[in-house]
Amino acid sequence: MTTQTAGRGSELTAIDWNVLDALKVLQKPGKPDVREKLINSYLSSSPSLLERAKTAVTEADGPALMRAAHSIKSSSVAIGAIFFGKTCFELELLGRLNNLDDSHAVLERAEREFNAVCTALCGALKQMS
Amino acid sequence: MSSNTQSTPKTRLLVADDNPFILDLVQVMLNKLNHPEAVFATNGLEAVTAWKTQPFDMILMDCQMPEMDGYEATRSIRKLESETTTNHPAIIVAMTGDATQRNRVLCREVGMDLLLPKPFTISDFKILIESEPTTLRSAEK
Repeated sequence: MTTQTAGRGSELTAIDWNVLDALKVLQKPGKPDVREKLINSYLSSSPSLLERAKTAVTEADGPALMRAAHSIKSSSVAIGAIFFGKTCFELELLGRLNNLDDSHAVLERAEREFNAVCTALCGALKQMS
Repeated sequence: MSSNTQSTPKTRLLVADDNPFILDLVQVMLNKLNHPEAVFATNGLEAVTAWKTQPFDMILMDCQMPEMDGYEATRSIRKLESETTTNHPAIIVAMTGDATQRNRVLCREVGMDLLLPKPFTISDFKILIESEPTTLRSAEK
C-alpha cells in the first residue's frame, strides 16, 4: 500500500511526520526525547477529550461538542494528526451551529481516524525506544 | 493547578488550557527557553483563582474551556484588576485555533491584549515571553 492509495483513516496517512520531526527543535541535549514525552501526553489525554465529544453528540449538546472538538483539534494538529484535526474542526463547526444530526457520521469518521492516529503514534514510540 | 519554582523567571506566567497536551507542550517550550516558572490551570475558574493568589505578568488563556471559558475568565480578571490599584494589569494572550477577525474582536472586547494562534511554534512563543510588556500591548492595537 502506498500513501497515495491509503485512505485518510489509514495509519499511513494519519500522521504528518514532518510536523512530528519538527518538534525535535524543542529537544534539550541530554534530556529524554521530547517527542516521546509529547506523544505519550497526546495518547493519554486525547481519549477523554474524544469521549467528551461523544457524550456531547449523544446528549445533543452543541456547545459542549464545540469545546471538546476544538480542544482535541489543537493538540492533534500540533502532533501532526492533520486529517483527524480537520475532522475535529468539522465537529467543532457542527457543534457551533448546533447541527447534531450530521455530527453522528462525522464522529464515526473521527473515531476511525483517531484509532489510526494512535496506531501510528504507538509505532513511532516503538521505533524511538 | 501545579507550579514549578526552580528559578527566578523573567515573566511570571500563568497558562490556562483544558487540554493537558497543550500544557505539556508549553512546559517543554519553557524548558527549552530556560524559563521553567509557570503556573498551570485547566479552566477559566482555576485561572481566576490562581490570579487571586499571586501576581502574573502574562496569562496565556485558551478561549474554549469547560467550567469557565477564557473570555469570561478574562472579564473577571480585568474586573478584579480594576478593583486592585497595587497590581499592574497582566498581559492576557488568547491562545486559540480561531484567529478569525470575529474572534480577534471578541478577544479585544473582553480585555485580551494579544492573540497567539494555535498551533504555535517556539519562535512565536519566545517572542511573546521575552518581549517588553509595553511592546506587546501596542502590537495588537
